[in-house]
Amino acid sequence: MSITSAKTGSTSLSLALENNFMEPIASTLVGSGGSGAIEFNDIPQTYKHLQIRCISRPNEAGSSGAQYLYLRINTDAGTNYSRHFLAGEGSTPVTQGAASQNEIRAGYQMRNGYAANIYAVAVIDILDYTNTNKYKTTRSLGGFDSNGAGYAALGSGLWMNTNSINSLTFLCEVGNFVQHTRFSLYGIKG
Amino acid sequence: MAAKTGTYTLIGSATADGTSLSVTFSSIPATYTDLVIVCAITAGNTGDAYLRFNGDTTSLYSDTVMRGNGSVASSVRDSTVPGIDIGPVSLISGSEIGTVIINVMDYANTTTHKTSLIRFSDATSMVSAIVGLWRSTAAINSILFSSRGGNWGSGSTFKLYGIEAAK
Repeated sequence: MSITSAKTGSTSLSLALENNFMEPIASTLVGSGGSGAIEFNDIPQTYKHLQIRCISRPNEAGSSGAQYLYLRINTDAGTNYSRHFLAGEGSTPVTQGAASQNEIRAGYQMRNGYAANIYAVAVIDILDYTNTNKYKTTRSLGGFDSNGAGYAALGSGLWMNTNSINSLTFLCEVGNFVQHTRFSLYGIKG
Repeated sequence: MAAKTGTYTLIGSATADGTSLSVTFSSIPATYTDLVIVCAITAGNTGDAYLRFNGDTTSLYSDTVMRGNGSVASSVRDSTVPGIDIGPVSLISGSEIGTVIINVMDYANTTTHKTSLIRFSDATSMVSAIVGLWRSTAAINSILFSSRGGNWGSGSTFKLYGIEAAK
């Protein structure tokens, strides 16, 4: 079905954009001291979905491989999460899944021995985050490239809780976020 | 935590007429946090396509690609190349519309190298996810989309949006 604006004739995405469907809620830019966690609290309950857009780099030592970007919801550190990932690393794609985890793996990040100035990126959507009848599902597109190494990944995560989401916490799998890491939170209207 | 007004501002738009090998957005304002380019591609290209920033034609680009064609999933990498792969647009055929959506993250900062997230989708051939790197700390002020063979199909559209984070 095609939805068309009676006012302008615009359709689909352009129609949504006309109506300011996406609004900035909050943004965090990490300073020179680094940060152990990125937290968004008191998230308004007035949107349909949330989107997080980020660039990030951990200070974990190492110049190969990768670590995960962790996400916890409403400060829940229990084993109430599950996840699936499909990632390409320049050769054979890899996939993984796990149940009863302590967090969602929301992206891949390089270690701090990679070339300077390169940051991992991710766009993470959290769907129907205020609904109190459903568990909450996330999806993500992210990764990094460092001219000879890197990951391009699609992910999905589940928080097995029907509570409305009012806070998000992002963590490095190992270490802290370094300076210039940025996380921005947006609300998407339904 | 109070929400602000809407974001996703249309900065530029272009429609191919079938005679152009490249499309360029220039004089991009540095006032946003991220850029998103939404492309609806018609058949026309006979080669794949790439993007470049700020007119840089040197080999400061690289990308990691994950893709699936309905039977096989695979991943490839391009290192030290003169542009970021945006997908196999030459596979778009007939009356199909393929889509390419590109997120250029934190494009205006002058400290980090610039990384982009790209999704290519063509229902009858392939889908792919791509992470691309431009090893420059310069703020991005122009983006070029170029075909490696054949012109952009007539009616192909390119829309550039600015996304502004909360201040």
